[in-house]
Amino acid sequence: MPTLPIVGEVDTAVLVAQLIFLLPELILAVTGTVIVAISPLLRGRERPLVFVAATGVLAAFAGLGPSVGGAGEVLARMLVLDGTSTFFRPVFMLGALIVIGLSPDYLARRQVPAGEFYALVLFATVGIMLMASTHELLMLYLGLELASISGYVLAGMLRSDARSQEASIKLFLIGAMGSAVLLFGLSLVYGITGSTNLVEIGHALTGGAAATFRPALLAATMFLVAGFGFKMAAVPFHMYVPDAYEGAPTPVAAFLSVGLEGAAFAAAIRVFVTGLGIIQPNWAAVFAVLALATMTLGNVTALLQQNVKRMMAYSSIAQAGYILVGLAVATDRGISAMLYYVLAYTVMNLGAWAALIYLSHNGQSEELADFAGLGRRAPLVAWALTFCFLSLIGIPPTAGFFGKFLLFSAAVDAGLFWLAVAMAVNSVISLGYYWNVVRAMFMEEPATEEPLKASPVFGLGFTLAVLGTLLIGLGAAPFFRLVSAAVVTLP
Amino acid sequence: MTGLQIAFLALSAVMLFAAWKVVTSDIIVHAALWMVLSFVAVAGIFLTLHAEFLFAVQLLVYAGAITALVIFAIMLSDIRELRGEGEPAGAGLGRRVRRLVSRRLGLAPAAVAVGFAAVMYSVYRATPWPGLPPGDPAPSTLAIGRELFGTYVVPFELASIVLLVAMVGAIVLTLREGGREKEEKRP
Amino acid sequence: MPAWLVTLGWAVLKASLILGFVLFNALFLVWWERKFAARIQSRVGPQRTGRPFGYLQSMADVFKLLSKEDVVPARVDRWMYVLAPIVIFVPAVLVYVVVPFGPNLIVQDLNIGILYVAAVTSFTMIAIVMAGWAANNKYSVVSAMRAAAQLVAYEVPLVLAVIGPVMLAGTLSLQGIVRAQEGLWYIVVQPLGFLVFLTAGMAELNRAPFDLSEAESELVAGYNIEYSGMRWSFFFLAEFSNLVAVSAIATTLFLGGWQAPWFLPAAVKGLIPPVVWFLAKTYFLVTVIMWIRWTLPRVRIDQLLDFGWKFLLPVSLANIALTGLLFPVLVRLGWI
Repeated sequence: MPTLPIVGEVDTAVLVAQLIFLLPELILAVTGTVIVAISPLLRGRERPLVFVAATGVLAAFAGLGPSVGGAGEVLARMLVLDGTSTFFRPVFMLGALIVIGLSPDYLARRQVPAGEFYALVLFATVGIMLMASTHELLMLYLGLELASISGYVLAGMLRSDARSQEASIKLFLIGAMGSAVLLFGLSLVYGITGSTNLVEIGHALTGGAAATFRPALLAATMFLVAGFGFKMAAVPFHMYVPDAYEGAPTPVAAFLSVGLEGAAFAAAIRVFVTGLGIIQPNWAAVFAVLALATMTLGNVTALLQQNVKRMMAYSSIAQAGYILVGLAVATDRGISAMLYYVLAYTVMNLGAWAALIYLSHNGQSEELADFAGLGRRAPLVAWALTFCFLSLIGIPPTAGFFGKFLLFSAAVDAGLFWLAVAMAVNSVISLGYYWNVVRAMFMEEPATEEPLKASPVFGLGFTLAVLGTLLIGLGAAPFFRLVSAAVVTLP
Repeated sequence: MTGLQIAFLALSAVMLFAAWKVVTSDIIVHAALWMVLSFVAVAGIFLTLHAEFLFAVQLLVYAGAITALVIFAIMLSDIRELRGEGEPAGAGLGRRVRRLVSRRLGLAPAAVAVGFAAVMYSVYRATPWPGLPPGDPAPSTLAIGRELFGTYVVPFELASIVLLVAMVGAIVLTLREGGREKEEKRP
Repeated sequence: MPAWLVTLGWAVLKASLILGFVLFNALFLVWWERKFAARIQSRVGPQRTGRPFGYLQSMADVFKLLSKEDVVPARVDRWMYVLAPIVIFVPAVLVYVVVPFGPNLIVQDLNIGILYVAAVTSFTMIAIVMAGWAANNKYSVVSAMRAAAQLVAYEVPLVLAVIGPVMLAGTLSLQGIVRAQEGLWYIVVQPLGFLVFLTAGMAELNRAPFDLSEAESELVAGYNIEYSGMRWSFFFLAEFSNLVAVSAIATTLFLGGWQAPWFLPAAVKGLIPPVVWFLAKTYFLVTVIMWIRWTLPRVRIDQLLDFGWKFLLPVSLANIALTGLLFPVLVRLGWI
C-alpha cells in the first residue's frame, strides 16, 4: 500500500485508520445510498427494502464494537468517544430500527415511496448520531441539518395530502429559522473563544474570561437556548409541532418526536455542559422556566385534543418538558437522569405511536372515536398501548417511572422543589388524556367488529418497543450504571 | 477612520438597505434582485477582510447559484403575485393604515428589528472582544484547501451527504404521480 | 508623485486598456463573423463600406447605433430596464482582469483566478433575467426564463471541466496554470475536459446551436427585444466580449495560454512573442465557435436541458475522476 500523505496538520494514514470508529454511521449512510440506488429498479415492489434497511441498522450496531470503551477525540477531533456517545449512538439506532419495523404496512397503504423513506430515515439517523458524538460545532451543525432536512422531506412524503405538505413547509420554515438562531449563537461563542471545539471553548472561558465576555456570552446563551428550543419542541418554540406531527406520515411523526428531539437534547448537553459549563447558573435557570412552561402547556393542551395524533404531539411536548428538568438541574445526577429518560422515552413513545400507525394502516383515522372498542378488536395492541401510556404517565414498574423518579430526585437533590412538584402535578394532569384513550378502547362499543391486521415485521417493531419499555423499567439497574458511567466522563 | 473602516460601513449600509428592500418590495422579482445586491455587499465585506476565497465563493454560490434557483421558483409561480397585484387594494389613508399593521411591512416587524439591533449593539459595545481569532487572519486558498481536506474532511463528507439528502428530497417531493414508471411523453 | 496617485494612474490605465480591447474586439468580431458566415453560406458579406473587404462596416454600424433615438417603451420596469445593459456589460469586462495575455501582460494575477472568473460570469444570468423581466414583454420573459434554465444547466459542467486543469496545475491562478503547461498543453491530457468546456462555454454564450433564448423564429428576438440604440449595443458588446473571454479562458486552461507549442525548439519559440501566441489561439477558438454556430441547427429546449444535465454533467464528473486516477501515472511519465 502506498504511503498516505499528510494533509495540513493531519496524518492521513491515522485518519483512515480511525475511520473504524465511524463505522456505524458509515454503514448507515452506505445502506441509505444503496437503497436509493436500487429502489427504482424494484418498480414499485419495494417491500423487501425494509429488510435491507433493518439489516443495515443491525450491521451498524455491530459496527459500534470498536468504539465501545474508547475514550478521547478521534478523526482530527471531529468525533468524540466517551460514555455519552457510547450511550446515545445505540439508543438512536434502536429508535431508527423500531421506526423502520413499524413502517412497511403504513407505507404500502398510503403509497409513500418506501425506498426514499428508509434511506432518509437512515440518513437522519446518521445526523442525529453525529450530533450526540462530537465536540466540534461544525459537525454538530451539519448533523443537525442532515437530520432536519431529512425530516422536512419525510414529513411531506404523503404527496396527495395537503396536511402533509403543510407539515413539511412548517417544519422547513421554522426549522430553518431555528437553525439560523442557533448558528448566530454559535458564531458569538466562536467570536469570544476563537474555537469551534467545545472542550477548547470550555477551556477558553475559564480563568475570568467568562466574566470579561459576559454580555456577549449571555446573548449567545439566549440564542443557543432558543435555537435548541425549536429542535426540542420546548414552549414557546413549539408552535409548529402539533401541525407538523399531525400532518406528517405517522411513522415520520414518531421518528421526529424521538430522534430529532433526542438528538437536540444530546447536543444541548454537549454545548451547555461541556462548552458553557462555567456560566451554568445562567442557562440552568432559563431551562428550569422552559421545563415548567413546556410540561404544563403540553399537558394542559393535550387534554383538549380530540385527534389522538395531535394529542400525542402535545404529549411529546410535555415529555420534552420533563427531559428539560435534567438541564435545569445540570448536576451529574440530573444529566444521567436525562440520558435515562431519553432512552425510556424513545421506546415508550414509539410504542404509543405504533398503535396509531397500526390504526391508520388498517384504514382508520386517528380520531378518539376510532379507538372505540379496540380492546375487543385488537386486544394485544390495546394492552400494549395501555402499557406504554402507563409508562408515559410514570407508573411503576415501567421505564417511564424510573426515568421520572430519577429526574424528580435529581431536582429535589439540587433544591428545585418547585420543579419537582410541577413534575408530579403534571403527571397527574397527563393521566386525564391518556385515560380518555384507554376508556375508549375498553369501555366503548366498536363501530364494527372487523378484526385488524398487521404484518409480522410490524409486530416485531412493536414488540421491540413494548419489550424495551418493560425491560428498561424492570431491569433498570444496569441502565442506571450505564448512564451514571456515561456522565462521569463528561468534563 | 481608515479607508477599510469606511468601506466596511458603506458596504454594511448597502447590505442592510438591500435586505430591508428584500422584505418590503411588493414586486417579488425586485425582492430577488435586492437580495443579489445584499449578497454582493457581503462579498465586498469579505474582500475588505482579505478573504478572497470567501469573496469568490459568496459571489458564485449566493449571487449566482442561489439567485438562479430563487428566480426559477419565482418564474414558476403565479404571475399575478409577481406583478404585485395581490397587495391590499385601495388608495390613500386606508392603504396606509393597512400597511402599518401588515405583518410584512408594518410597525411590529420594524419594532422587532430595531429592538434586536439595539440589544445586539449594546452587547457588542459592552463586550471587550478578543483580538483576531488564532491562526492566519487571511489564510490563502491553499491553506483553506488543506484544512478542508485535512482536519475538516469528515464534516466535508458529511456535507455531501446533506446535499445528497437534499437532492433525494427534491426528487421525492416533486416527482409527478406515475413518473416513476415511465417518463412523461414529450411533444 | 505620491504612491496612491501612481496606483490610481495604473488602475485607470489598465481599465482603459481593457475597455479599449473590448470595444475594438467587438468591432473586429462583427466584421469577422459577417465575413466568415458569408463564406460558409457561399456569399460575399459586407464589401461596400471600406472596399474591398468591407472593413469599415462595423464603424458604420456604430454610428448608426449611436445616432438612434433612445426609446424606453411605456410600462417597462424602468430601473431594471436601465440597469440591465450595465449589469450585463460590467462582468463581461471584469473577466479580463485575470486573463493572462502574456508572461507579464495581466492586470492582476489573483490567487483565486479561475474561481473569480466563474463568480463574475455568474452575473450574466441575473442581467438577462433583469432585461427579460423589465421589458414587460411575454417573449422576453420566456427568453429570460430559458436563458436562466440553460445557464444553470451548463454552468455546472463548465466549472467542473475547469477542475481538471486546476488539479494538474495545483493552483487556481490562471498565470500559474499557464506556466504549468510549459512542457505539455493540457488539451493532450484533458481532451474530455476541453470538449466539455467548449460545449458548455458555447451554451453559456447563448450561441447556436444553443441560442434558445434568442430563437428568433419563436421568440422574435429574445430578452433584449425591447431594447434599441445604445442600450441594445451593450448587450451586443457583452456578447462578443464573452465570446472572446470563453475562448481566452479555454486557451489559458487547455491550450497553454501564451506558451508556444511545447514541441518547438527553443530557438523557434523565441521568434514569436507570447501575446501573439495567446491572441492567435484565442481567435482560432473564436472562429471555431463561429464555425459551429453557422453550421449546426438549433436544438430544442428539452434536448438542450437533457444534454446538459444527463450527458455533460456525468461526463465532466467522470473527467474529474479520470484525472485523479491518471494523476500518478502522468507524474511518473513526467508529463506534468
